[in-house]
Amino acid sequence: MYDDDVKLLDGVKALRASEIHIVDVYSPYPVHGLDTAMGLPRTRLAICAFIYAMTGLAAAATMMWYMMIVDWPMNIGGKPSFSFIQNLPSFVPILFEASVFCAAHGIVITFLLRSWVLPGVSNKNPDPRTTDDLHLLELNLNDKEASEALKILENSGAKEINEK
Amino acid sequence: MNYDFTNRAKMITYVLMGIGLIAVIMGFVSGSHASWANLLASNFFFLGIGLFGIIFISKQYLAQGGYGVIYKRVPEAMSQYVLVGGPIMLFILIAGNHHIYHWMADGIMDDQSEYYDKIIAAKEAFLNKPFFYARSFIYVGGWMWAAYALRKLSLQQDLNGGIIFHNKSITAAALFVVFFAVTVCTSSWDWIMSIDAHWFSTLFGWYILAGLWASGAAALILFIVYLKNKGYLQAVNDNHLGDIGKWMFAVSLIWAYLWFSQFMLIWYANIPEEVTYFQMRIENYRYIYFGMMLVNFCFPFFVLASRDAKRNPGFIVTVAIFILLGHFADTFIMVMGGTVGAHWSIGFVEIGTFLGFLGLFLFVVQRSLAKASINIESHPFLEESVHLHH
Repeated sequence: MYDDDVKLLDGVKALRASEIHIVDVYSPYPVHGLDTAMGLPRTRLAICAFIYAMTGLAAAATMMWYMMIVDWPMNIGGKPSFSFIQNLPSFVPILFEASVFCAAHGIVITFLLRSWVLPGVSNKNPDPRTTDDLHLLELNLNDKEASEALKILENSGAKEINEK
Repeated sequence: MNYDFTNRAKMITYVLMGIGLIAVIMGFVSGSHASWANLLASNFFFLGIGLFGIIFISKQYLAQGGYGVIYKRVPEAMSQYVLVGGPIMLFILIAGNHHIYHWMADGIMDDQSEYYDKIIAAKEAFLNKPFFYARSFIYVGGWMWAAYALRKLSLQQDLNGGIIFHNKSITAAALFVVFFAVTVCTSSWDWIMSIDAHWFSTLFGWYILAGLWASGAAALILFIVYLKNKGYLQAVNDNHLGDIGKWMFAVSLIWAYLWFSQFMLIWYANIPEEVTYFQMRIENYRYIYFGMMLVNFCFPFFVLASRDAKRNPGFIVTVAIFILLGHFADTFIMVMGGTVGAHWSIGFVEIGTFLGFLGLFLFVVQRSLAKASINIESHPFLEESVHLHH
């Protein structure tokens, strides 16, 4: 348990330097530089977003091509109704909206699934005070590491150390 | 440390300006009626980059932004072009009058004349010479004041430290932003849109703003990477480059959005008065028109979408060069389409004029960089900017 994010960062860095695996860190707000200090890989959510957007684009294009050109050509304001490419400008807003829709919903759902925050799932937070003003550093130690880790935690200014 | 404006660099700008001068003289000697339009297109393009310098500094002050402080001298130096390009703009408008602006021709608003044009005559309340020139003087005067004042306050801030000059800069920036928000629209109506006096578009001002912003961000990146390679601005790292890269990316998308919004509504409504603008350009400038769309939108979109690309100097410099060329093509089409229409060409005169203004712009920027220390000595957000981290 830490009450200061600078101390938390110091603790994380010291633990990583002595090669002790950190299970997770819980904090009430985003701590700047924590992800790099913990050595977390960069998120791949952006790549997902791109793939979802392209899916949305393709789906919308297929839908409009089938509805407006193939199945029942629509004459709206005398616009060329038998050609997808010549009628493209009027489809662009929908292509854009569908891409944004799919990307936005896709990444939210992916995020929820990946971090397993769903309705009815009980929370994994070991201490409710991390949602208020304290940071929590969770370690899973064997006996060999325990004494060293304890020393590091004390040195870095941990406010409270609990064992489970 | 001051930027060293070496003799070699000076020579290059002189040669470019010389080429420009020869090109302009050749243009006038050969009697090409595109000469004035050429001058307008090139000067407007670089004036826009200069204006970007002022916008960039102003928004940093107003939003209490810290990330751009260490390279603040660069947009400042860019903004100094307004002090040169502004008067040149006024000269082009006054000397070029009816060679550029069809609505300034004699008799066009006189219903007895054979040149009478009913649609243009109906716009006389706005499009008349005294009001037009008065407006132009106000725009240029206001911008020149902002470029001068922000630069001067920034140098005083360096000298004296403290917060007084910083607060003065915030006031100046606020005044400029309000003034610019109005004048960027009206000036683009006056200087560019009124070339096609029959045609109008309500979002034209934003379109121009997005265009000059994208080309300005591209120029800023080129200057910063150049200075860093020359051994200046060593504190600038990928985080800073990534930030300007994001600007270039985002503004290119806004530009494309506005381009399309303008095009799509007019294409959809299909009113003869409006569609001729696009019809003419698509018929006569087909390849550069769609080529510029590709370069200004698709290229930055796909290349700069990833985070690593925005932080890689090689990538962003390549994209920046293409964006600058693309946006010049855009300005060129806007101006040429209305003045010479189908009789356009790209030859020595056009490229030479562009290079001449490029030389003048580079000369002004480098001279301004050489005048004051390139490293910021004192600024409330200096520390934050040095330790910028994402």
